[in-house]
Amino acid sequence: MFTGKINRNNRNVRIMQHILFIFLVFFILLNTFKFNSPPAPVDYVYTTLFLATVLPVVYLHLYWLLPKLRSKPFLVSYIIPLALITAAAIWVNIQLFDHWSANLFPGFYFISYFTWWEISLFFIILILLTTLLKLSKSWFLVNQLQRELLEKEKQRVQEELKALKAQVNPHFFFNTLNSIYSMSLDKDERLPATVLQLSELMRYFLYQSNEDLVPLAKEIEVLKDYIALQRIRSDEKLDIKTVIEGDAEQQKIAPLLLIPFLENSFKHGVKGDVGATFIDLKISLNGNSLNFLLENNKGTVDVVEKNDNKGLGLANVKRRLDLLYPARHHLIIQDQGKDFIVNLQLQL
Amino acid sequence: MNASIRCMIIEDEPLAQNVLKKYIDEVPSLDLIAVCGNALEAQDIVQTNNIQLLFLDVNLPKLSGINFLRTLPDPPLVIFTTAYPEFAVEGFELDAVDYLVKPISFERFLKAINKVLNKSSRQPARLTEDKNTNDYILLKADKKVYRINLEDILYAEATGDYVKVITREGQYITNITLKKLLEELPDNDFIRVHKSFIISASKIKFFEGNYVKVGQTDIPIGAAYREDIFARFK
Repeated sequence: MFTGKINRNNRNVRIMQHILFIFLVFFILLNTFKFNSPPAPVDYVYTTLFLATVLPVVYLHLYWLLPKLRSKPFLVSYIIPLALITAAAIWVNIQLFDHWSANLFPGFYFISYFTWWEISLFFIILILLTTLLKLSKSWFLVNQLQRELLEKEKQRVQEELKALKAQVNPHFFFNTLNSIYSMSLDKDERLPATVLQLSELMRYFLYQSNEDLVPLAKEIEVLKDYIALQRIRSDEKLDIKTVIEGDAEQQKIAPLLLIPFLENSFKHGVKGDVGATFIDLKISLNGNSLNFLLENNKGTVDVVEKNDNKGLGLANVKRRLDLLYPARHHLIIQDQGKDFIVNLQLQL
Repeated sequence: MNASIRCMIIEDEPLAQNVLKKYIDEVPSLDLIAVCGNALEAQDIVQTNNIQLLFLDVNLPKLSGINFLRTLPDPPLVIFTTAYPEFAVEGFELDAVDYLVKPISFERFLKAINKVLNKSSRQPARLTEDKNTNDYILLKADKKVYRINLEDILYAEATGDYVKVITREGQYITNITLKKLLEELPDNDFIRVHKSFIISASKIKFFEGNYVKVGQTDIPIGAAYREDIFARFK
C-alpha cells in the first residue's frame, strides 16, 4: 500500500522481518504440535508441512486480497476469494496428512490429530494475526507520514514568513548614506545623531528582525528613526506628524510589521508630488489592542523599480498578518484618490 | 581661459544636491547654472539656459529622470546620479555619458567629467565652437584639480601607489591607477608601453632597442607590450 521509494536496504530489512516472523510461527506451532519434549524429527516435518499449507494463504491474503479490501463489490473481491482459498488450503492440509504424506514421507507415520475446524482455527488465527501486523504497520506509516507532512507544512509557513519579512529597500540605505556623506562634507551638526539613527535601524533590521516577537516600544522607536532619516532627506515641503498614545512597554509585536506601511507612504506620498506632501501617523494602544492609523497624500509615481515586486510590500504585510495574527487583525486600506489611508487594528 | 561647461543639477534631496554643488564648485571647467528639485520644472530651465551637462537623479517625484530624459527633444549630455545601480544599462541606452552611484566619491565624479570632456572633443558641436576647448583632462593632485592640456602630456609613470604625470610644464602626482588614467585619456594618442608607463604617441622621438625616447626621457618598452607597439607604428 505504501510502496513509496523502497531502496535495497529497506527491502532487505523487510525480507528479514518476514523470515523472522515465519521462524517464530514455526516454533510456536512446533511446540503446540509436539508430543514429547524435546520435539521429535517427525514434529519438525509435520510443522513444516503444516506451515507450507498455511503460508500461501497468508501471503495471498496479505498481498493480493487485502489491497483489494476497499474495492467494490466487497463480497466478490474479498470475502469469497478469501473463503475459497482458505477452504482449499484446509482441504489440502487434511488430505496431506491423511493420504499423501504416507507416499511422500514413507519413513514417518502421520496422523491428522486435529479436526477440520481446529485446523480452520489455526488458519483463521494466523490470517487475523498477520492482518493485524500489516495494518498496525500501515497505521504507523500513515502516522509517520502525517507527522512528516505536518512538519513540512510548518517549515513551509516558517519559510514563507521569513521571505515575507519586510526587506527595507536597499536604496533607502544608500540614499541615507549619501545624506550622511553630504553632511560630513559640511561638518553638519545633524551628522552624529543621524549616524546613530541609521545604526539603530540597521541593528534592528539585521538582528532583531529574526526574532518572532519584539517589544512594541522597539518597533515604534524604529519607526521614529525611519521617519527622522526620511525627514533629513526630504525638503521642507514635507509635513510629517507623529502621535503615539498609550504604553507600549509591556506589549510585543512581530518585527517589521508596521514599517512597510510607512515605507509605502514615503514612496507614494513624497515621491508622488512635487508640491506640498504630508504624512500623518497615529499609533494608539489600549491594553493589548493596537490601532495604527497612517494617512498620506497620494500622487502618481513614475515607478522606476523594474523588478516585479513593486506593490508587493503591502501584499506581503497582508499575508504576514494572515499567518501571524489570524482573526486578530483588521486592516482597512482606503485609496481616496488624493489621500491614502491605512488603518490596522491588531490584538497583540 | 577656455569657456566653462554650463551644467545643471536635477535632484530632489537637498543633501544630495549639496554634494554635487560642492563637486562642481571644485572643478574649474564646470559652471553651475541651476539646481532643480524635480523634473517637471526642469524642462524649461534646460531649454532656456542652454544647459550643456545635466546631473540627473533617477528616482524623482512624479516623473523619473529616465522618462524625463526621454521627453527632451534635444537633450544635453547627461550624467545619472542615483542609488539604483540597476538602471545603468537603461541609462547608457539613453546615451548617458556616465552613471554615478550614490554616495559618489570625488574621484569617481572627476572620471565622469573627463568622460564628458572626451566625448565632447569627439562631438565639438555639442559643447562649443572652439574645438580646442576640450583638449584637456582634469586631474586631482595635491588636493587641487588641475586642468592639463593633452597636448602638454609627455608620459605618465606609476610609482608605488601614485602616478606621476609628466608634462612640458611640470609633473603632477595623482593617486589614481595607471589603468584608470589610461581610461580617461583619449585612446588615439595615449598608449601603454610598459607595466608602469603610458606615453603620448605624438611625442615619440625615436625607438632605440628596448627604449622609446619621449621628450628627454628614455622609457622602457615592456616585453608584453612590444608586439602591439611595433604593429601600431609599422
